[in-house]
Amino acid sequence: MGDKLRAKTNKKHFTFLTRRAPYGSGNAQLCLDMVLACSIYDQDVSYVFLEDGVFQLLNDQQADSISNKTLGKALETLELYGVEKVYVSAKSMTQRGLTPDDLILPVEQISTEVLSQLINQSNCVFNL
Amino acid sequence: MSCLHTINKTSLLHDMDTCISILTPDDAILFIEDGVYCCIDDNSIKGAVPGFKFYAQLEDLQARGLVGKIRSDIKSVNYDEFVQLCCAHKKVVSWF
Repeated sequence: MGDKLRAKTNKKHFTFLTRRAPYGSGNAQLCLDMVLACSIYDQDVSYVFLEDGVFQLLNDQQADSISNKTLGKALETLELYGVEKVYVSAKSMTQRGLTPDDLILPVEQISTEVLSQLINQSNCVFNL
Repeated sequence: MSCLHTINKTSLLHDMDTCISILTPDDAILFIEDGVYCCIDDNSIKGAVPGFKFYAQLEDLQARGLVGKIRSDIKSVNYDEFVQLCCAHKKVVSWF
């Protein structure tokens, strides 16, 4: 019984690195879908916004003007789906002249050193 | 010969130096799609001499939450004005 039970409750740490702006490609939406799927299966999920991915977090997005779904609105629901470890690269924010006031939700800013640790501690890393 | 240059990528994916270095005084740059992110970043258009005309696609700014966050010297234009810009210039060059 032991082995079977362990297999069922096996929890892994997944880290998702999202590095693209929200609407120019499908990468951002795909990454979000994977994050939500992982979270629903009760996995340990870290969600990191870096490089142009930080633009996904900008407030006041209205993607209906380009006939799209507003990604920022979906990101606001992350907590409801149990995704609590959401991080943004401090370096990527600075490079783009963004401050926490520009963002749609409170996100912990992390350094490249912390990001490196996070990746090392993860069982699996998705990068898109 | 006047020319409208369109840019549709973010500044980090897209090296704008070439485009900016060949601008002539009659030319204009229009930022569309992900190119509108260049409008919040002073560095991406630092090579441009003041006086050059810069435009950004309004609908793309709205979608990305950038209205009110862009440089004051960049004018936002709707789709009708986009068409007018294309007609007002002899050529359109897409830096995609």
